[in-house]
Amino acid sequence: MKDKIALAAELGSGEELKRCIEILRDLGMSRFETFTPYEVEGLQELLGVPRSRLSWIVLAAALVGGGGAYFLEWWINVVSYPLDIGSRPLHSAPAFLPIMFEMAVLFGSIAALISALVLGGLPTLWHPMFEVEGFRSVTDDGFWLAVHAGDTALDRASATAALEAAGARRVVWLGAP
Amino acid sequence: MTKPIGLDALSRRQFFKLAGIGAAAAGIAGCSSRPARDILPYAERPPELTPGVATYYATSLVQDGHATGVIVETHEGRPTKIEGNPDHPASLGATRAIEQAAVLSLYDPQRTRAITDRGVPTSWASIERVLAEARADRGRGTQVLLEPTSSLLAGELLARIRATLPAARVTFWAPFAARASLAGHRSVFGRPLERRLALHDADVIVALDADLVGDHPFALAHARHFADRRRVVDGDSRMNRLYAIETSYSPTGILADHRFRVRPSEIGLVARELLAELAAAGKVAPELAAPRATGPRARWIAAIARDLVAAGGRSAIIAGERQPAAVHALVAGLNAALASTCVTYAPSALIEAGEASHDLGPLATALAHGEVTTLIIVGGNPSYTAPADQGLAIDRAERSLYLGAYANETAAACHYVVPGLHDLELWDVVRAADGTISPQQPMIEPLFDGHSTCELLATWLGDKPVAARERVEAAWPRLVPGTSFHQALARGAVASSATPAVPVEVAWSAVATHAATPSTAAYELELRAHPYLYDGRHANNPWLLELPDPITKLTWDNAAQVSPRTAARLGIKTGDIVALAVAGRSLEVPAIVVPGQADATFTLYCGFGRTGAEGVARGVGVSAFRLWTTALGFAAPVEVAVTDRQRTLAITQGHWELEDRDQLPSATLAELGHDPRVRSELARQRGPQPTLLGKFSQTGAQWAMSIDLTTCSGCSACVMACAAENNTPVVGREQVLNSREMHWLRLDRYVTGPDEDAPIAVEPMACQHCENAPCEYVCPVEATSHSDDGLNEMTYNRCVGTRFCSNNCPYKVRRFNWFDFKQHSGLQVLARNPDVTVRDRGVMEKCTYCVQRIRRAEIDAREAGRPFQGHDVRTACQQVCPTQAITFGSLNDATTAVTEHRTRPHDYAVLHDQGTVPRTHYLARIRNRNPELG
Amino acid sequence: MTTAAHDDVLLGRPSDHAINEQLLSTTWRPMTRGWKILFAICSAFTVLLFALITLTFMRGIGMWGNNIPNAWGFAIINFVWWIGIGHAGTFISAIMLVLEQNWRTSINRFTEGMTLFAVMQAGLFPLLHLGRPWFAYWLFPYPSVMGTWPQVRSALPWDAAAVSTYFLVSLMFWYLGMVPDLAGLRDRAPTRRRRIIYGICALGWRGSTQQWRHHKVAYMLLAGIATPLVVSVHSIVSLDFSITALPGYHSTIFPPFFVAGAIFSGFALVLTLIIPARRWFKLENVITLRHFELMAKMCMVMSWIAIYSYVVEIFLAWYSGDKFEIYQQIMYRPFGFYAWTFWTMIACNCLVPQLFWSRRMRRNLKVLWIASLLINLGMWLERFEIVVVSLSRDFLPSSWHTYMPTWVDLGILAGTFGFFGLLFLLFLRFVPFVPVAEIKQMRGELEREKVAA
Repeated sequence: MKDKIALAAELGSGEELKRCIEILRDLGMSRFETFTPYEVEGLQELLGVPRSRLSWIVLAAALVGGGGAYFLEWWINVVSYPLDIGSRPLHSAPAFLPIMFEMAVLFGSIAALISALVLGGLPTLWHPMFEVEGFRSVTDDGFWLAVHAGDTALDRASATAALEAAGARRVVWLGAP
Repeated sequence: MTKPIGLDALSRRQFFKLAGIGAAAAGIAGCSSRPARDILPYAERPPELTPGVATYYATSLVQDGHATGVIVETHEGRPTKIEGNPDHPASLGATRAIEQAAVLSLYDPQRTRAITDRGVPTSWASIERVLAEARADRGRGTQVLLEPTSSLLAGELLARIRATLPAARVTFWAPFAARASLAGHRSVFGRPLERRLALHDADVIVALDADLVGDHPFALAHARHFADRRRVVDGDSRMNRLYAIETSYSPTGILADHRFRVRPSEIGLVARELLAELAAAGKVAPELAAPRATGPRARWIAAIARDLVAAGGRSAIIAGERQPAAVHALVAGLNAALASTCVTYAPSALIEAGEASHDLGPLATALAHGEVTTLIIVGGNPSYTAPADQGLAIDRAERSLYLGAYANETAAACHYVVPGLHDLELWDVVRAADGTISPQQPMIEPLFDGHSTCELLATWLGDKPVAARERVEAAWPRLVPGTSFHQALARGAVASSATPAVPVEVAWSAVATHAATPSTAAYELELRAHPYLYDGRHANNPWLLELPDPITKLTWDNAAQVSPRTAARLGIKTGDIVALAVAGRSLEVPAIVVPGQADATFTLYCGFGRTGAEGVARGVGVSAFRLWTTALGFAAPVEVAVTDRQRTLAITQGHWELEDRDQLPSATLAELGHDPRVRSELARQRGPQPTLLGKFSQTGAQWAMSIDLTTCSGCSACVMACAAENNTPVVGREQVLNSREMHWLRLDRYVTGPDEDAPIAVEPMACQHCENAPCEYVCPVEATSHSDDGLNEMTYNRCVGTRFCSNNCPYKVRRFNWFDFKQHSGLQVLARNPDVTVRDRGVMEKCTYCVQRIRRAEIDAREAGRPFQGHDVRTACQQVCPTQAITFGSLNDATTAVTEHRTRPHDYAVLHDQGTVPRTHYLARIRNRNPELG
Repeated sequence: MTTAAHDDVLLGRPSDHAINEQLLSTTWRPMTRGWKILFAICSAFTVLLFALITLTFMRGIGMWGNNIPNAWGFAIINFVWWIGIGHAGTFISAIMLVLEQNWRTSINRFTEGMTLFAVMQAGLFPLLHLGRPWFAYWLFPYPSVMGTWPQVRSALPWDAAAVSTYFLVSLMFWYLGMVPDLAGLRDRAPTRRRRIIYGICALGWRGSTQQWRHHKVAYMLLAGIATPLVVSVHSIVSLDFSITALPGYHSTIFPPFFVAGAIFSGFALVLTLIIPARRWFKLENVITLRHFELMAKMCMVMSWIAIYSYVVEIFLAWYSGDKFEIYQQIMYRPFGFYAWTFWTMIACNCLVPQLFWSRRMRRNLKVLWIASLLINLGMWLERFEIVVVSLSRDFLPSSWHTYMPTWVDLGILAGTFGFFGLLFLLFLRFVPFVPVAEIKQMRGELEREKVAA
């Protein structure tokens, strides 16, 4: 399969990681993947990842939640079971707002959590990288750079050399050359 | 003396349940079986008893021999509610709290259950043997102690006893039965006559220590006649004027236009001084002129005297039964001097009233000397109520027999105990206080095969047993010739059978015999019958024990009432225990500070401190009878010692002041007429207000209530009627202490004036059925909402018990079931109204304007195919009110009194400025002040 | 903010690995004796709590001191107080994140945990105080055979919505922020069992570009949403009182007043908890005196808002000319039956925080800790003033009656402290309560800024 990872290298810091990406780029490679203990400044820009669309999903969910709540409140009071409650109007708009707001928040938040996980490819309890020797350091102090097998410019010798020259702690090749 | 707080409420509930288990069988049997022979319904006999539809029968309830006509609501032969009988002169459609609670006493689990000989069950035959022996030797050595009675049947039997058993002695006794007035009148008129009042004709009324609307046998009629002269429409309405001169506050004192506090021993003096004023006015011979009043009293006594003279015979002066004979003689003289047309005299309805047989002394002595072979006590509870100096040594009699409905102290003291009958179980013909003949018919078969007084007396005479109904029906033509038995049963009274007044001649020499000098004692003690427990006979009735006292709002206790000034001088506050000593007999009782109590006096209610087998009554309060001696009477000098101990009193309203808030406006008649400030002040508390809220359609009946505070005496019959009608539970002392009482209707009483005589006004407070109800919009589950006929409705089954509604109710009239208060089993569940839901734990409840009655009327109208007017709908509180202070009806109906009351200048709504738009309005308290006294 | 200021939110320059070891090891290092003793005590009180809840359910809330007119009592006070506690947590973790106050990084997970557990305590009470708790679900809309619905003009369904939303959002925010650290534990935990459990919780997090990218946006969004949420929740709680007509409840300043009070008490409880925790887990380098100074200053600010609110309440009562309000606010609260609670509240909420004008006091942990306890007491009493004192003196003097808690009331309050402590101790034991990834990142930023400077 094309986005199978072929090469993984562990580096000591975010800066090194970024430098290596540039080096491999010069070697013509383009299909990188990074794994870092925390978010590295400028990494996304370097890889040219587009801005996340997550906010739009959240907005939509919030609108659905709030709108639905208000509609329900209106419907149960005006249509389903109208009652004289202390001569308050059946459609008591101000009283309907708090629940509307809360539901907007609730639906938005649920959407935010779920889409963050799903878009981030979670949950996936198994991933090829987990098989890589020493990959555990990814949550400690290891900054990992990976190149996909589908990358046509990927050349074993030159890449290894370049990475080791750049001070990679470890260079691992996955699968058959 | 009293159980520790924390145990009694719970144990009392458990006690009911336990007692119930044993009673259930008998009870169910009792309720399912209808009387063997037909009894007659009130209006006309129903073709068929429809299950679920109540039937109403007329009968009479008796206290100390005086009948009050009532209508009893029965469901499938089970009495559930008592109403007044409009056709009965002693009721006029109203009752007191005591009659309301009588239905619970019928189902009292502590009733005597079986004939016993020293506790061992035995048979009626053995009783017959005892009575046969008592018949021997013309009844020598036999003493019979009866309650005063007006029974025509008993009258016949007693006449025969006097003839055939001359050696036997019959005594009539009840602690609060009329004695002094009869003696006083005997001295003035030569005959023991009874006073009759025509209060509807009286312009000026002076009550001298007389609770004429409270503890008088004809109180209900007095209250109505009095109130009918006080229906204020506007400032120029004519109103009678009532002066109350008393020691402790009474409902009469609440109604009064002027109230003056004097010590008990000063009442006679006031009467003398009035006489002196009349002499000065040339109304009586000057030689009767006693010393004129001096000091602060002079001013108001002169004013009252002038007012009386000005009334030109349309006046009445009434002395209370607690006062000695001499005072009654004086008062008879006063009324004669004023040529009062409102006070007449007639023979008492009671058998041998005012005769020697009404004195307990000889019997007490005979017992003490061991001269009694057979002692037969019929009804009452003399072991408990006898005066301290006339205690009955029942154990000195060879044989003693007690016939009574309750396992009380006397029953415990006697060898033989025969179950008696409750008024709702028996046949008899009795008389009202005015002599009106009133039949009694059973609503239910005797629950515990009881025996009637007549049956006992007849057996003593050796008659052959005869069914109760036959006895009455056979005797009727003899007793009440020329009247229809059936018609009498149907009406509950024999029309115009009252004893007519007799002309009297005043022996002036006997009038002014009362000592002209007051008592010099530092403190005086006044003993009174409890407004609900009376002489203690109702002390086992939890409804009455939990009913707040009209003045002190005390429940589950009695306490020595003392004025604020005297309390300050003695350094005591409410709850401090004081030791009261009269003639060497001492009693420890908590004090309660009451504004309007005469200084240097203590007032203590009798009827508490019961020690019989009656589990509810036992240990509640202390018995004031222990301080009562015939020598000193109901008012006596007393030594007071303050202890360092306290008792927390279960008082439902500890607060007396208005706190400068306008929830209870009051004015004088003159102010209402002419004072623009007062009129606008009242107008400010009604009428439309700016609001953002729209109205829901208000077509059809729109229920509303109007309560006239001018005629509300605080007698609390309405509270009891509400509890009886709506199955509100009894919660017990411990819960009342934490303000958890469940009465839907409470009577707020406030001191409405600054002066030390403390004018009190009462404001009945139940759900106001606000149109913009604050309780409704805070309920999270729509458990309380508005009906289209303007009721604020509670949906018990929907209530989750957040109690938000109670927090937002400005009137705090909602009640919450903190525990599972309802009684699950036991005889007394039979008293419940099947038309009203019994509420569960955790549910809010409140006044419903008796919605069950409204809906019943709607259904009847629909069945009869006529448009629903709602004129026949009356709430329980409205129906029972002796002064008809409560009116109820539809605002959309121009003909209803409620609509008319809305137009009066003193109509107002409580907390009007809160914008709740309550459907219950009030008519402000109006006093007809004597201009001379301001 | 100056470099120096930055400097001492993280002492020294530990390497990523060092930070990792120090912060993760709290989950496997053997627990101190103090922890074990506390755990035992808290468990005991938790048992008490659930015993008393059972008793209340069996006998009815008559077991409590409530009566008419005091239909609400301890249950509602505790509810409002516990909810308030929660707010500081959200305030620190969300609002300060949005405001880029990066000193909050070291304590935000801690305070989020506090929020969760406080809201759990609070959530007990609306249920407990019902007369018929088994029908609590009637407050939520569901198609019932009777066709009945909740009555949404009442503030209680608003509460139900707000509190449940608040709990869920806090939970999600807390979890989302924790995923990378759970992965850290997966990769570092000593035993296989732990690795498997943490591994499942981490959902397979591997810090890939995509994951970090969406994680960051979602985390910021949740923070952004939680900011108005935290304001709305206590505003709505305050409406339980504001929408009524009762003198002492009927007040328009409650929403802001309640929110400020909530954050006030919340910060106090953060101090109460974090001072011992920091000691036991030797985190002096991560949670520094600077953190305490800043929190002390926050307390003082909030205390002034409280002072302002008290003054405004009394002024408005007088200015309104409404005799019921005047009696309640000016006569009864300061001089009535419950006067001592009023003055204790004033002392705790208005006077005690003034200590923090002095830098020495702000940096003296003993003073801070005792002050924080007093502030918590004061804030509890503030709710007592509102809930009970108002009810015990309303419109008609005839219905006036005082309120006294029973042993059950006190037991349940104590029980919730135990339950809260229990949950918190477990939290300290099983998850990293200082966000590891964020600390590492903050360290990086600090260094860059150092270079820049």
